[in-house]
Amino acid sequence: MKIFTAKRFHQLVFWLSFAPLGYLIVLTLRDDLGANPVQRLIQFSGTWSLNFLLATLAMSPLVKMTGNKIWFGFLKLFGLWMFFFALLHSLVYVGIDHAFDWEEIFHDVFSHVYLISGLIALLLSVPLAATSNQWLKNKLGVFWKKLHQLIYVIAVLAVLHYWLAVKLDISSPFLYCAMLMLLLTFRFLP
Amino acid sequence: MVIPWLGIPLKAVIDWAKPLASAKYIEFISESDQSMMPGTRSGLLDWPYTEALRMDEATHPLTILAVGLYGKSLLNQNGAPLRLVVPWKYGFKGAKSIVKIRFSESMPVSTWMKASPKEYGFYANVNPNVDHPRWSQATERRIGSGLFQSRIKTKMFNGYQEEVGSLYSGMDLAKNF
Repeated sequence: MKIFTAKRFHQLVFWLSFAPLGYLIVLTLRDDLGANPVQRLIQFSGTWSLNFLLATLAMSPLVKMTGNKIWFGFLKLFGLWMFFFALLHSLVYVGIDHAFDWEEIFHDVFSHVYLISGLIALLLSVPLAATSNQWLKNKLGVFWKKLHQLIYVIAVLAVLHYWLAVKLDISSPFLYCAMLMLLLTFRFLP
Repeated sequence: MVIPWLGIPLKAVIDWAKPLASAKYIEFISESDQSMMPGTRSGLLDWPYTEALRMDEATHPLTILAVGLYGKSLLNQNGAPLRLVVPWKYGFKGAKSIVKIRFSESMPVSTWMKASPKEYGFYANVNPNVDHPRWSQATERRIGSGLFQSRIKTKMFNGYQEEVGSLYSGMDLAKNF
């Protein structure tokens, strides 16, 4: 009787993937979000959306490196977490930071590149999240595969959004950019 | 944040120093001891932190050298022993842990002007009409009002239009940001 089954591994990663959200909830309930809680929420959700996005891009290289297809089984999980945190990120910006002041939000978004970039990344993620089930994957066939190639565009837009949003210390966006380039190289190199 | 500072008018220090009539600007240089201030080990900014004001801004009654806040002395991390407070300007103008003050005939280049001249100007007056190149300056979040703190509209000169507006009459504030 094997102990480390694929199913158990999947279950482990599944439950672990709730950790960032769990941590955020604990911080919020304990009023431990710091002096600028809105900013903390936006930054936390933004970084974790990026983390899960990079995780999806790391699966294909991992399959190549380990020769084991088990990693493909996490694409949907990580993809949906990426979308969840992107949604949370956008909701905090729209709903808490700007209190649904749509006139102000439209003006802010459409006059600033970093926000346009973020908005497009979010919008492009919607069809991916909406089609992330087996039934639609079967139904859409080749088109599904092509549609989900958008993840590469989303990744570039998301990193650009982060890079432009930061003041002077670009060390963190730079790191994400470097990781993204590394993963894209792995993915597209034969 | 809205901070109750304790301090002395910068004008009092300037009067004591008796600068020459040729002094047009006053420059502040901060402590940059790497053993005490790990941040100064990074090459992100050109240390020591340097800031400056025009003489009329410096002698304005609203400009103070803070020695404390909330009724207590400044802690090291708050910029002890002396910290510049210019309430109608963006925070980066408020140099902390000042160890040297000098007068100058020509406009000094501050640390942030050097770091990113398109984003940080000499005057740094709070101005909702002049955007930062990448984001808006029209609204702000007041720190300390909790999680569901709504943004408020930023006021011209941070609400001190009446007190300091005349210092900049005739100036193009979009060019001289």
